[in-house]
Amino acid sequence: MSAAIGGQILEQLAFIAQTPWLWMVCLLGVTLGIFWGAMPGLSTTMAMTLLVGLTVGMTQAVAIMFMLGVYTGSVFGGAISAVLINIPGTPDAVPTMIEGHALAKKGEGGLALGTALAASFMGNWVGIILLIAFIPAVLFFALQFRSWEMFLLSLWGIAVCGSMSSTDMPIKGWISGWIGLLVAFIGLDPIHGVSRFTFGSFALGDGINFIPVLIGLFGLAEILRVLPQKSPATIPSEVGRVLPPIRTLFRYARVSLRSGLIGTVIGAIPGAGANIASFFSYDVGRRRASQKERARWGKGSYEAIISAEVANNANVGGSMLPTLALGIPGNAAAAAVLAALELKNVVVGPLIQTENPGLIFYIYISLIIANFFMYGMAVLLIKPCVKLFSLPRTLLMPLILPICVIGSFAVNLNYFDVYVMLFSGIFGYVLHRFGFPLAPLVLAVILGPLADENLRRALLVFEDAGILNVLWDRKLGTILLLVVLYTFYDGIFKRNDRNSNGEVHG
Amino acid sequence: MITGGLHQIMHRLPVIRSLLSVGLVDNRSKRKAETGKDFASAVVIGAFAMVFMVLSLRLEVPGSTYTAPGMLPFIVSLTLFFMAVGLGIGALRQGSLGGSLGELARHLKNYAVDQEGRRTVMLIGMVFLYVFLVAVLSFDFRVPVFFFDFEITSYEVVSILAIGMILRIFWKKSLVRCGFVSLIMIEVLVSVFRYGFGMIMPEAF
Repeated sequence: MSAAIGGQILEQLAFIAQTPWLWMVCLLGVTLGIFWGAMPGLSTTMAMTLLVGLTVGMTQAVAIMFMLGVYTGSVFGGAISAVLINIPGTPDAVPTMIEGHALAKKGEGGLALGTALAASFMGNWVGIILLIAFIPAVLFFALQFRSWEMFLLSLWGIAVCGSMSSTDMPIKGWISGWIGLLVAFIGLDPIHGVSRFTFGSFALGDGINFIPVLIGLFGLAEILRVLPQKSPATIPSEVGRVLPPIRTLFRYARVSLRSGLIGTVIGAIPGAGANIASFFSYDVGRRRASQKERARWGKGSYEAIISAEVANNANVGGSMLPTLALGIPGNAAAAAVLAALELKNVVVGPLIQTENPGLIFYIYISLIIANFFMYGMAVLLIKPCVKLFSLPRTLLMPLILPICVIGSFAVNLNYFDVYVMLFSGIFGYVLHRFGFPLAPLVLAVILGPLADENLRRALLVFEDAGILNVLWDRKLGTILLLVVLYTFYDGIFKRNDRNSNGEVHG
Repeated sequence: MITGGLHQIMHRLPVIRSLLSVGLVDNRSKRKAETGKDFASAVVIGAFAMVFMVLSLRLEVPGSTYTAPGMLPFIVSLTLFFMAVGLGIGALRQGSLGGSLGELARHLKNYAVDQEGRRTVMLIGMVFLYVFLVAVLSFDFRVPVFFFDFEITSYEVVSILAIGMILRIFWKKSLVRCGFVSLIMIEVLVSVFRYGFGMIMPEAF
């Protein structure tokens, strides 16, 4: 590290230390983010896009600190409703929901959330450290992902999610994902602008946004499933121990490091967000877990929570990489950070360090401070949250309904999205009754447009040279293709073998 | 003898019978119903995939085939069709089709008559009505409170009434208590979003 860079870091540290207002703004952002993320159906992206308006009157330093606070807080906040009421605040919290809610029902909701918190804290650290230490290497690797690789990565995300969320019958998970892909194709196609499956409807021309689908499938469908039950099960109100013992965390150090690496690298790939990162890390975690631990997967495993939460939080740091270094946002939430920076006349891209010396270090330090505040605030909020969400479901669920309506409407200020949420909720309820998992459907609605556009772009590039050349010219893509094929092979054949041996019972 | 007597009683009491078919007691019946469900899903999904295959083929092709808007949708529908076939074959392997479909039909019939099924249908109806009323009603009142105008709109009025009714039916507390909880919750929620974050509420349309 050169002396100039060291000087810039010290300068930024001194500036932040001497400005208590910045700390307060960061705390405010983190708190707002946690509350926002904890509300069922209100996503990180929505928090970022709505709150970016509040930064108009702020100075550059205050605005960045505030937005990064919201970002960090809302990513963790998604885990609160996921664990306690089985409705994920954000799509990447779905694996945490699967594991955490199973633990919450056993009365371990506090510890499940505490573990998710510790994992989020570690994930943020891993992301930040890797971001600082390996910017050139990670960026080089991330930039190897062109259209062909992006298509395969999207496909892989859906395939992994399908086989993970339906361990006994992966085919049901894939069917759910494939239905999601067809939903994602509705609207104008991104290359020629041809209307697909709109049936002449103007409203369908813009396509189906994933947020109303998420709210419908996980929010409304859960209300429809739980509320009519004769005596819906609530989670126990006793919180018990919240933070896991230090030695437990040390036991998961390797898992954390691996998941952090996955989260950061996937975050650094433009377009691949925390959703892929958390599902991928969750899948890798299951494969690498001991046989005893693997049996717990899907029924309440702390290791699974750590795998998913570390990855989606490390993704925050990772997504900042292409955002700051190339001006290409790593995901939708990072695009809102980019918008906030541009509002403050910051030119993001390769010249950021030349035109705004020290700013990149200010952003790293802000992320570190936001991480500490997130930890502190979450520790304070976990117990009240467990108490709140242990209220009778018959009282809690109806109160979520207006949030579902506001959340789906707020995306585009279009009431059509509320109808999408309603239809998705009923469809999700039927799918659930017929034993189909819902997570792959949401993930496919998110990744479908990415897969479609990138496949066609890749084929267009290789059209003249011969389509099969893509296999020889894009080595990374070929490896990914083999991985995708292996995922399907594993789901169809190996899983069947394991089932017949009685190893896996979802 | 006792078992035989219980059997007779169970077959005469529809509630106990529906509990049996839900699968709390008879696992074999449940497995059969699951097989029936898988087969029925396979048929519906297969048909759905075929419709999308036809729709994808009918899309115009402005450039080359490789960038055709219907290319990936066609591939996805085709593979979805094969998956549906796989699911259907898997279901057929599990047991006799007639018995499984019969069990599924019994399952669905019981669902329609049992309390949970009826309550679900009623809840779906109430949610439909709530969403529809928010869409069609549009009015607002402004009440001056100290230095600003407090806004009460159709969204709040409809939400308070709808959520109050749902609470009354499912939470089963007094109408006053349900109405009060609904009022406080909706007003806090709307105030935070409208005044705190400057969000537009759905009533504007």
